[in-house]
Amino acid sequence: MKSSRRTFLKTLGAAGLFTIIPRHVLGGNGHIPPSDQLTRGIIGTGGIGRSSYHFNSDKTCRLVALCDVDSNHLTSASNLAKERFGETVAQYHDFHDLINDTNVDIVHIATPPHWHGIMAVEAAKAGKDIWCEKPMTRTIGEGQRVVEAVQRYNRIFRLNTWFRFKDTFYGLGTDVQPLKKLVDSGMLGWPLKVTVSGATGFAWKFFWVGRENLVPQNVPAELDYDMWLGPAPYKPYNSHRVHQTFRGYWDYDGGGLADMGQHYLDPIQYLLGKDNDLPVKIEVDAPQQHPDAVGTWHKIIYTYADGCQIVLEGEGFESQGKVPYIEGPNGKVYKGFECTIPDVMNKIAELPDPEPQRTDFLQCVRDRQKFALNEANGHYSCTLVNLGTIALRLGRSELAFDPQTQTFINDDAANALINQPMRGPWKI
Amino acid sequence: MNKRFISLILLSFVLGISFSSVAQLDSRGRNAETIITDGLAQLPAKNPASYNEVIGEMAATGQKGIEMLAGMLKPADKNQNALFEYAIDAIVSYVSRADNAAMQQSAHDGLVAGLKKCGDDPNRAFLMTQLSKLARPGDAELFASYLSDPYLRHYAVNGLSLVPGDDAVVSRVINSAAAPDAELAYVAYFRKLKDVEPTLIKWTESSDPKVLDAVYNALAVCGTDAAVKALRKAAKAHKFANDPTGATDAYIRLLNNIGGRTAVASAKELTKAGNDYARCAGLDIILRNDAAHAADNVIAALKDKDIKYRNTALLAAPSIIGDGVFDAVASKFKSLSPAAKIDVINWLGNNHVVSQTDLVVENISSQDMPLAIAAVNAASKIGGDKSLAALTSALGDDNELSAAAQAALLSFNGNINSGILEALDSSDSNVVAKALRLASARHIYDAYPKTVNLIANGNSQVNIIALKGLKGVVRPENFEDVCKMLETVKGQEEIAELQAAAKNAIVSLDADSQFKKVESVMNGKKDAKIVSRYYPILAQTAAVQAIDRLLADYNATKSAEAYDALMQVNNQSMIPVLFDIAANNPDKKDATLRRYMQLVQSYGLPAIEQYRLFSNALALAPSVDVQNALISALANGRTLPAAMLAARYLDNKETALAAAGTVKYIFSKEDALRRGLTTKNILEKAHKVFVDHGVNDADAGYAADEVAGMLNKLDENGGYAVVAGQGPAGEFENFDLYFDWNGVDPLTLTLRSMPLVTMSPAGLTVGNGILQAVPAGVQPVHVRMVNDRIFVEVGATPFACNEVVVNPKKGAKTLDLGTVSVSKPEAARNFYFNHLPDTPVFKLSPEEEAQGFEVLFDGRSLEKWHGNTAAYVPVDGNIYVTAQYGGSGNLYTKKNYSDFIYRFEFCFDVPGVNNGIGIRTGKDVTGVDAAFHGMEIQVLDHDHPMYQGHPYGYTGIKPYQIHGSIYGVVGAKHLDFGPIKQWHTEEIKAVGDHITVTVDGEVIVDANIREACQGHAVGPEGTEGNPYMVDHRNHPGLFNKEGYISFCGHGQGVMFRNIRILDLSDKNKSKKGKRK
Repeated sequence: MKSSRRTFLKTLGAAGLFTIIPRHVLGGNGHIPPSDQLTRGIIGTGGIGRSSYHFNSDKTCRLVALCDVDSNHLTSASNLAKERFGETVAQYHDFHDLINDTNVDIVHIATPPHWHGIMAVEAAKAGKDIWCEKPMTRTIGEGQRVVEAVQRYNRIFRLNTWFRFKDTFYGLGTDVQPLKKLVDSGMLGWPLKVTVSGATGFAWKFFWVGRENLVPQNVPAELDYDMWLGPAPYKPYNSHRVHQTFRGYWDYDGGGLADMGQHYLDPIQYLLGKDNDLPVKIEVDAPQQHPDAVGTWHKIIYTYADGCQIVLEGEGFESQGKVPYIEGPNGKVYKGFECTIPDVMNKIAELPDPEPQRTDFLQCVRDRQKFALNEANGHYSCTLVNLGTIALRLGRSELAFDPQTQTFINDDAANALINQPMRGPWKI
Repeated sequence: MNKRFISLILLSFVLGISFSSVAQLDSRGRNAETIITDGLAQLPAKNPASYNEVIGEMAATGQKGIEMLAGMLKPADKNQNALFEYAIDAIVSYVSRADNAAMQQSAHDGLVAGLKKCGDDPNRAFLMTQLSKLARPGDAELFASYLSDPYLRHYAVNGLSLVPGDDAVVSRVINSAAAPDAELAYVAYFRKLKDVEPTLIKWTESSDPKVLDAVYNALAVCGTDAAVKALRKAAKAHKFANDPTGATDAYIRLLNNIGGRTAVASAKELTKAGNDYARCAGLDIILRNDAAHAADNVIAALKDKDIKYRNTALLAAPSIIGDGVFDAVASKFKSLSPAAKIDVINWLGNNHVVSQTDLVVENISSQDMPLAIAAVNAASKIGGDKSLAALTSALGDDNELSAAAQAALLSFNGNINSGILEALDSSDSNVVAKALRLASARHIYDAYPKTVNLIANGNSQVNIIALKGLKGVVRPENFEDVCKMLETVKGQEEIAELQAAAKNAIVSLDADSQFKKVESVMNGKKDAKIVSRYYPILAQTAAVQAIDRLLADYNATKSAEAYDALMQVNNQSMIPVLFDIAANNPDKKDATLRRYMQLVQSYGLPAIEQYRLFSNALALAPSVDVQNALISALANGRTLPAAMLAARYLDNKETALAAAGTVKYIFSKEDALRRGLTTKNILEKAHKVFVDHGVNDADAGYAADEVAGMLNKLDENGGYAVVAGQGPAGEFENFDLYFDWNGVDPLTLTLRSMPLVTMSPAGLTVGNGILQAVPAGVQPVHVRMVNDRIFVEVGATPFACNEVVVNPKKGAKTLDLGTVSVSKPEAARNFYFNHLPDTPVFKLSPEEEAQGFEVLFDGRSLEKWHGNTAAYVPVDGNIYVTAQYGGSGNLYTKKNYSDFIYRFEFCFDVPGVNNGIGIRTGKDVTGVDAAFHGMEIQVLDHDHPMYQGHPYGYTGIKPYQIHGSIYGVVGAKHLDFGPIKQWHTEEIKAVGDHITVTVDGEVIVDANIREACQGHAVGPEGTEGNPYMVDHRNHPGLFNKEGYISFCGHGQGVMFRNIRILDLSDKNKSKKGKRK
């Protein structure tokens, strides 16, 4: 058995009398002892995995490994790591090798969504903690498996969107905390209706749509297309299927709804206190979707058992003029925290802040406490996204859902999309 | 047997046939081929209603239709299949709805037949994928037959995974496999098959790691106690660590699934494994399957040195053991390691364990700092008086702990007022300082007197903190008090803090009350320095008087304080004020325009008004940064002029990207603007800008794709053209135009060669209408002429909306074609013209022409009509009754008619629509109910459910109320109109008492009205109602001789066209005249 990096360093420390040890290994003020230093490997270095927000390395968490099935991406990202952080990272083609690398503590999954579920489960099995990009999983069933595996092996999981705890939240011009206080105070009344629309400052990126009738092309030499597809059904290669534009195909993602949806829906689940709840009804108004290429949609309405609603307004049907972001029987909140309740900011300040959330992922890894947005609430908000895509793909104007069992009521076709078989030999 | 029952049987018989037979025709006489081709022409559907209609019809063609669609699939490499894939996928989805389940079998059979005939691999894969969605018991054999085909194997496995009910068959396929097979093992896993366990156990002897991976995975869900041995062996061989075959994971999952004593015994071995995750999983299994010892096991686990192991125990404990576990663990707290203590305290806080408040609070004073901080956070979550007291007393020392206590109190679960008020009296200045901050942050108003007191007394650091905290504890009654302090303080920081406090004190009042309060304290104050201290407070009031005061002071003194205050005012009437400041103070232009832009955007103004305001600001030529911001903001002015203005900035490198963004946004949102060469030219420029930027910026790359998409679909015909000079060349019937009028020079607009609009600073006149005042300054003007209607807007104000065009020249005919021009082009800049399609004109057939018919409506104009011409609008050659302009009311012919043949076509555009043709209401009579004061020939979508009876009293529509009936007098034959949005022909012939109504060639009324009521239009005197009339009501005008012919509106959504009449009475008269 390979000795892990930490045991290796400990042994080294014991034998230190005869070895020249770098200053940082000895610890002391301002230095993090290597046994407390965490390490990270990124799977998928094309788009988000290479963006400046994610592609970093410092003494609290070092970047030590990269994995990609496109050798150009892998080489250029590795060069960038060398240039920017002075790190010589391990380069992997097969993600299993990165996951099983004993030098890696945290596996960062930045691939297209059809891989998220498998990789998260595999990483949990290998005893890694996980940072996963949104949307969490491409199907509801895969999400259930991730929750199960992360909990079974006591892993720390972060789903990466952050508006439930920081940053002003797209067009809203406020972060979520005062909204949460306002909702919790009951001043708006109940049930609430939340509208995610161009008029409330959100954009669904409808240019992330697919193309029908793709012409088969030669697979470029640098790309392992079979491994890129993985569990997805085999379809002839076309450059529009992969790298960034993959979002336009149901096999891998679900357009702007899937790609942006969890950014927008997760803070709403938090605001409404629905982290353990799901809608009972999903209504969709959309043109017919192609079985392969994602198209656009007009409107999606989620209704919870208590009457709360989330309305997503898409192409064409965008509300004109002023639409409240949150509307309750006793008040409305608009973009920029404009509220119909007089003197609302002062009223909110009198209330306690919401219970603090654990938002330092590395600290969560160290003291084994759940991250603010973890596998459990992440799965719920991702399920909202997947409920929408299922209704869209089936061309259903209405679906009835049972939040307890996480199945559709009397609808075999919709239930078949909860667990979709994978292309062998892939499994989750 | 009653009639209804028989007809139900007949109905189901007919439907059953139509699902399975091609020869059967649908209600519109179409066979399966026609339905499929018709349907394909309408795909992809644009909205759910048409989707359901089209797909429903296609699905109803049954096996034959779907087989036909499958046959239409071209070889996949020709890439022409999108349409057929749309259709097949949609039908499969449609029939898989519970309410369409009756169609599933035939659709399924169609797919099977199509699959069997298909030879192209990708197409077979597509059909198999679709068939998987409709798979029925018995299909397992079919899917299994493709297992030997290397291309289709994956799809066969997919089908075997999904086919319902065939567990026995699938198990047989697996059990009879010649060799261990990874994909079949996957099927076993997906279906959770129990009958294949022996086979799977046998397959664990394979040496292929890929196969083992799949087999172990399958055993994890399909296995029983019998599988434990084999999986343990495999996992142990890998020392219970992760390996490519996933043996350990499968073993752990199996133990989880089987549970019980076997699981507990086996899991003990796991907890001694060399890796933490197997240990944690083992512990979890033990805890869950041995409830009797769970509490002891949790406490034992807390002695472990691995934090993950300890937390596994804590996480699982409450759900297994219940709340008792908190006390059990707490009783052993002292014996735990420092690290385990932290875990336990965190755990008590996370679970809000009130019963352990004492333990948590005790640990706040621990010498172990991380433990103390954990206890602070837990106390805040648990809440209660004890926690509050402990947290406020922890505010003391200036260290990590007191900072944590302060943060904890901000989110303390409950009211903290009493604790904070007490802490304000503390002798420890550190405690007082933190209490002041908390009082302010949580608005503890009762702390106001103490806060004021601490501003002046005590140590100087506390003084400053109290001053800063004042703004959080003030209410309106403290305002005057705060203002006194404001006038007397010296330092800049003190002034700012007291201004903030004064503002907060009154912020909850409305604008006028706020202003009155400020005015009363300012009253009589002359010292400019003191006065200026009130500017920010005036600004907050946003009252109009406050703006006047600030503006007057600013204009007189140019004081920076007054300017800053003006920049803070939130009031829409600041928009023109800011524009003037920007125009007259070059040094403040940029800053002022930024604020101007912010305000314009925040008031949700109409698009054209936003265009006007941004365009004015751009004309002031601010810096490039502000120009770019304005160009981006123009996107909100979603109109043609805004797009054209932005387009002008595409040529300048510094503004090109902002301009391209705005152009893209407007054209993507406004479908009507996305046509013609001007648009094409602009989009091409924008595309180039995005492509050039896209090299370094992924977002620009997507934008380029989006613009390219718009260009691909762009129709080059029509659209707006830029007009130079007085007007476009040629003569026009329908058009749309925009220009910016300079607001100064008088102007006449000639439309269709008629001087229809005149404008000058004094006002604007449309036709012979009255002079209406126009807003001052440069104004965008929008004119639209369609058919006999004119629309004029200046800025966002309508001056004419749907008005009937009348030539203002006395005695001159109103023209339907002519030139378009402005009298003074230099006063009308940015002139854009859109030539709209001419309206089709209805002409009589030669027969009708010969017979002497007269056209009453030719598609363009209502000149032969009067009455509610607003709700009845000529649209695309039809009279459309639209809700936009009322949607109801009556429209009358200008002439009276007695005997006539009246022909027209009608179309129901919305379900359930109701109108009627009124005749013979009396010479020159309007405004009466034609049904009783004349006759009303009903126009009604009579089969709409709202006209059926319902259980709450309404018995449904009467036979004398359905379409074509002489309302209340003579019932018509019922016609089945089929789907809405179809045109139908109608003829009403009235000769004396003889009325005939013919719809779609079928005579549905042929009656003598006098005979119908035995001559009694009104009942005999003294009787209630009219026993002779079928509706038992009086129809006093039934035997009227003549009257206007009218449309009797009862709601929007009906269209009429091709209306013509043959006046039989005139003819008779003239014939008689000739005879004499």
